[in-house]
Amino acid sequence: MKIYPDNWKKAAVRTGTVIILIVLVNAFCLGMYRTYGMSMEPTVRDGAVVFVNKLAYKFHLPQRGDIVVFRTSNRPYVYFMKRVLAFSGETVEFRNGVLFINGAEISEPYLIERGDWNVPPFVVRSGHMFVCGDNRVMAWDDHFHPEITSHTLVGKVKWHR
Amino acid sequence: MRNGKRRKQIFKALFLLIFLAGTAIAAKFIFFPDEKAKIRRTLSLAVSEIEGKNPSKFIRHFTLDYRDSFNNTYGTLFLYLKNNLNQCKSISVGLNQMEIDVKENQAVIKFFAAANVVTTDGELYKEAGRFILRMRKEQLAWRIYRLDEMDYEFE
Repeated sequence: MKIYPDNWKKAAVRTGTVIILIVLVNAFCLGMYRTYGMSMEPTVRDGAVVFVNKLAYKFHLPQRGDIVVFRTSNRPYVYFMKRVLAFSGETVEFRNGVLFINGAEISEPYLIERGDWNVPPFVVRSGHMFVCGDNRVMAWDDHFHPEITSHTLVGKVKWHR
Repeated sequence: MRNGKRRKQIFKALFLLIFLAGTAIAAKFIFFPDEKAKIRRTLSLAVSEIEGKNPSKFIRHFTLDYRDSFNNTYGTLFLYLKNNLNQCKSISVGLNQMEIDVKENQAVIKFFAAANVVTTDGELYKEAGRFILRMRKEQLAWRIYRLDEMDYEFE
């Protein structure tokens, strides 16, 4: 039984090419992350592996309801995963767990439990978007829900398990 | 025939050279570590002591004038650890993306830390954050005198 290649040079070039391709795809196209924390449960459970399309927002902004990965703008970098709920200039409000944007009720079919958040209206800062986790059973104050700029977006969550 | 012998000798010499260079570099880091390596070693030791639930050993890495952004002092930190570590079944701490800046006897270390704590009741607590640690050299040892949590920025 032969377990070694006939041409070592060719085999080394092929292996090198595959490694370079994997590194390039991971750096610019498809990132893989492991989640830490429960703010996106039950949609994405704690410790899940998440694949992120890094090209998704190169040419357009996220849409409402997209699950995005973004990172801090200063080092050491920390990556977060949240759902985009509102955009620059929109007024956000929660009444008994129901989301209102500019006074209109927004349906959130991805939620299993709405929770009972009551958050007075606030306006999303210019050039920013408001992101939030899906775990509405957690108290509003226990959540981290920043307003982020598009520069900090890493990509769109495509697959999680 | 002679060519083959010569090639073998060259290979032997090259191997010896690489081995000696590797040994010299390893010896340099083991026996004469630079300040950054010493700081890394101190922090790694501190992590293993907290994971081993040993507050007396852990507190040795702090100066007596220690302060942090959670309003702890040397004394309150020690008491807090002494009273609470025995309620933990297991602790695991990870320090990542460590950036160390050393100037003479002072050092500023930025890092991302994540901790998993399982209590004796079986409950799991997870905490993570970015921190700035300030250390100074006292009696040849690096000790922590200030710890601050860093704000997240998304601009």
